[in-house]
Amino acid sequence: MSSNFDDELRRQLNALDTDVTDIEMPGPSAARRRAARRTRNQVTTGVLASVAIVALGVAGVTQNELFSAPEPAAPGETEAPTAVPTTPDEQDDSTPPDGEQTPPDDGNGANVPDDAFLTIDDISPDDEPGVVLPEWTETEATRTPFDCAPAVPDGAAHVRYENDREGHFLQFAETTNDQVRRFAQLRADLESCLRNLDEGAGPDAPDGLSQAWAVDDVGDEAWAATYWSPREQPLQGGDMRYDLVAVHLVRAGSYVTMVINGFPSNEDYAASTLTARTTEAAQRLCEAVEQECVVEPQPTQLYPEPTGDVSGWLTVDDVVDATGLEEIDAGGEIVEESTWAHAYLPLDPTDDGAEVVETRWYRNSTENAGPAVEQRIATFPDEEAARSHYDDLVAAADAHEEPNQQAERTGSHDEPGDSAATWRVESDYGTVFVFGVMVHGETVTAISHSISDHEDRDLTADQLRDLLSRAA
Amino acid sequence: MDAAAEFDAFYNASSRRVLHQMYAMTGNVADAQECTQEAFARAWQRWKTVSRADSPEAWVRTVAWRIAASRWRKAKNGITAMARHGEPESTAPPNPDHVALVTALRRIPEAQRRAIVLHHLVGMSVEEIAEEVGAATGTVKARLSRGRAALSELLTDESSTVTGGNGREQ
Repeated sequence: MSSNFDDELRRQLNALDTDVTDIEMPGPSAARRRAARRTRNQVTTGVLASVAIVALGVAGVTQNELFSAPEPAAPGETEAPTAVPTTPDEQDDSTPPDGEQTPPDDGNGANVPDDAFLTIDDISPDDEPGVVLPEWTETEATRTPFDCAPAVPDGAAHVRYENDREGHFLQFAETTNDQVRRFAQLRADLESCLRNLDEGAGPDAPDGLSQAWAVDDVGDEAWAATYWSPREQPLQGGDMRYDLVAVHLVRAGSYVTMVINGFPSNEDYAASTLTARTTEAAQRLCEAVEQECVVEPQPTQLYPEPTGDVSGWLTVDDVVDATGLEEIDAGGEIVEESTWAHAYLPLDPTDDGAEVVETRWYRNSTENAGPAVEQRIATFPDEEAARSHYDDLVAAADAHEEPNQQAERTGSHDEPGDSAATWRVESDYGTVFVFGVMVHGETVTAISHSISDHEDRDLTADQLRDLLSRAA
Repeated sequence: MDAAAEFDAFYNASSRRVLHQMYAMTGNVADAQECTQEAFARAWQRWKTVSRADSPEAWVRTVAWRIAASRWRKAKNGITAMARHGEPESTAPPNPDHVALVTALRRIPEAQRRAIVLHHLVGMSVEEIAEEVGAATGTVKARLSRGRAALSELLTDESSTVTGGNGREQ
């Protein structure tokens, strides 16, 4: 193409002006009125909420009894509903969060397209027969009831949903000239607040932060975490004392978006579920702003820090090599226990003098489901005590009976310092449970593995023996 | 000058220019008018911030583009208001001499069309476009190149006035 084409294109584009010459623009006053109408709608919503809260107080009904979550009116929303700002920005005030939140220097939601946000359809699970799903509705609120969850920053665009099971969803997005710092700031504010939450919690309270992941190849930077936010009013007779809050933070180009989604729960998400939502939020934002920002999501666990291989325990490579269960990629924390915790191993090692009983699970780091192998080690004061317990344990396992489920001995070997035995249990329901015990020096080790009826895999006696020998 | 007077002066100085640019980007006068007016309303809501921007006009143009692009996507997703409001207005431009250009612009991808308009109508450099649309300069160059090539082909097919009506690329 020559420059003549460019010149002609430029001329023709300029000539389009004649098509709009006779078009009358509504004028600046109309633009300001349009903005004011929007402001009045926001103000009215806030005032009605305030009136409702006052009325509830008179009637002796607490706000929590009526609303699933308190939504205090923002300071700027208590003015008369007819108030029209004479200068802009008066309506942009939002309630500060519980946790200290550093305001953005130049955050701006004006450039964020409406379709950059996750929708109610996105966050609603698929229908399942016989399952009544929570019903989500969109609300005007700018914050969630969860500790440490930030409110919508000044100027940011946002969506806010809540459901009839006390679930709350908030996503805000903004553009900024310093997106790297803004991303870090939002994350640091949340982490700092959670640390303070932990320090103020009682000794029996769980750590606030439950898990945290960096998700590479999603946006320019992505981070996801879950934490426990104490409920003011426990549910289920006091058993449900926390809301599980998932937070997703994504940076893509000049955009930064944060998703906060929480509900009453006693169980954490699988990491794969958590990071899938992070990826979904990034995908939606990037599609809306015409970027391609999701390649192959690569989650890296940041918290709890991966334990890695531990001296005296099976390595992840040991487990995978011996079993062929390649989904297993991580060994969990070592947790102190007091028993074997298996019905077929009915003796209590501490009764026989074990000084410590510890357990460790090997499984996939991002999936709650899937294959898992447990290793449990009881350490005795000396070899004689360990051997004595092992002999009694093997005899008890052989003799133990469960209704319709008999453990079948699949192998054993006895050597002076090293003996092992393995069993297999197949239930009437199609589940399989394989386990083995071994004595080596002053330790007795049990290894077990369960297979559901729908899982197309197995762990043979030879594979289990291999695992036991590696454990030795 | 108070804020309202400052905003009014800004509106009067720039709204027709933005309308023209949005018309080139959307190919529809009514859409351009609505998106431009909405963008100015949003600018007033944030006037303290917008007035301090390097280019308030670029801010309004960007917001207007986002509004238009968002509507297109909603229409693609079947969430258009057509069911409530009936068929949309005709998208044909009022001046027949410009039919070929506007039609061709509407047939190239949104991102390419935006780059073409910003470069050839607004007169922005590749670097300035990259900053406004939030893309790398290489991406903008590629969009311009592909957009020009596509327009050339489309306008040649239509015996466009751009190529002088002789059907040859010059």
